[in-house]
Amino acid sequence: MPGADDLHLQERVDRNVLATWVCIAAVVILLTVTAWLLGQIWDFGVPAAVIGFLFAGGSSLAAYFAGDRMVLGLLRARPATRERHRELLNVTEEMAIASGLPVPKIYVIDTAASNALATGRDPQHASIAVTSGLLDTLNRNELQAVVAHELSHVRQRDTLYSVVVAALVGTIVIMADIFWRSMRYGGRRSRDSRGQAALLAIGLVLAILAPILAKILQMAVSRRREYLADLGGADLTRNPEALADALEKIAQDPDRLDIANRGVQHLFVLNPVNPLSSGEGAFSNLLNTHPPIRERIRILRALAHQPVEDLTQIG
Amino acid sequence: MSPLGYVIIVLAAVILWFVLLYNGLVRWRNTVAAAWAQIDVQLKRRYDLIPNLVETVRGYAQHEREVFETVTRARAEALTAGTPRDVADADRHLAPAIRSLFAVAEAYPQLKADQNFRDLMEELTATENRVAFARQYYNDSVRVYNTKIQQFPAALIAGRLRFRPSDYLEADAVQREVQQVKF
Repeated sequence: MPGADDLHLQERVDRNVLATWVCIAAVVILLTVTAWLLGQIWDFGVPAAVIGFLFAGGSSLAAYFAGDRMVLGLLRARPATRERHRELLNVTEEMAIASGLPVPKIYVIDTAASNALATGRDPQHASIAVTSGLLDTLNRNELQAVVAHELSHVRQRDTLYSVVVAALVGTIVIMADIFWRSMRYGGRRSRDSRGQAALLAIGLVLAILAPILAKILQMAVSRRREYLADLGGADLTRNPEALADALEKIAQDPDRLDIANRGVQHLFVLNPVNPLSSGEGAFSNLLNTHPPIRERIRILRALAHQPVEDLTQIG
Repeated sequence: MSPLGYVIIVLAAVILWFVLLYNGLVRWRNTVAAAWAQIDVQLKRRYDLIPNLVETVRGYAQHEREVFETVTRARAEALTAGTPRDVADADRHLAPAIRSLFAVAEAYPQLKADQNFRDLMEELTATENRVAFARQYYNDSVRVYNTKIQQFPAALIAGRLRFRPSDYLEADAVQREVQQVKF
């Protein structure tokens, strides 16, 4: 699709697709190895490895094909209707025209907080959700700018990577949690050597797992992606000022830590590595880079005073 | 490997390169054509909206006949416009006519409060934006396409295979102003 920065765009798409496959491969290998290690203790290593592999493969397929619906369901997003959200649907269609992408599905999350997110594995299966608080806070141009930002995430496939990561990492963390608890119980009831060995094996795997998970999540919340989506959004609207205004309003919103962010946290339930404490979620959440939000506003305002062509030289 | 083997490999590489290049150019030429068609679609949508808008405003402001006639005439003119130049000309009449309709609405508070009218105004704003963004997308596509066919080495074959640079649409000052109307 055209955009002034077509060539860089293709690179970004390729990088996100590659990162997604690396993530899926890492999870499949990890779960298979874990299952095999556990199986070894009770002498059925190979069947356990097969079960682990199938489970990981199934989770990956679910994450890839249904991750977007999982996220939207978790956030209790409802489809926008023409009667109630005419303006939202209109600005989305405008941005779809400006980008040459198919019109994404639009959802509204009922909460006072101002936020927005994009999800979906590719532009043909993209969804954008905004909170009702955002609709109340922003004017038409600002709303358009936010939708353009989210559509840029879709265009550069950030949404593919982030939704797969969110679903897979969520699965792993929940599983690790279940294992830990059951092992502690089992260990207390029968302090046999096998229980001890199992604990050790799990501990070992978790020790390997934690930094990898941390790295994956760190990549998912890359600030670079946010800046690039800001620039991409400004490229669509040709109005960087509107996005800067929107970010400013959202930053001042007192209802910040409402359901949208809690929902994201639920998804991760991450305690070993907690990237959410900095207010950063792993999918394309408008607020997830809230520490540098001032910097984002500054860049956008600087852009507003440059000819549009210069915009393409960055990133 | 025999010298013939090398020749065959190089030849295959050249053919593959040519096929990829050619298909890439075709794809972009089609993108430009589709972007052009999109502008027509959005202009049509705008023409369809105008009668509705005129009727709604007329319900509250019967005396502003002159404005209604101007808008209706400009729309009729736009509908019959064939060439891109005619479309641009018609637009120069239609855009200020629509703006005068906005201005009329300003003078009638009851009209401004009418939900039906507000919906129509939103649709009109959206339609103006769609037209503007369809043009922007067309120009973006043309820029990429023209760059592709003018860059080396595509430039060597593009002309011979009838890939001609497309024209940009001029930014239209009137168009921009309509887009900025606020409520």
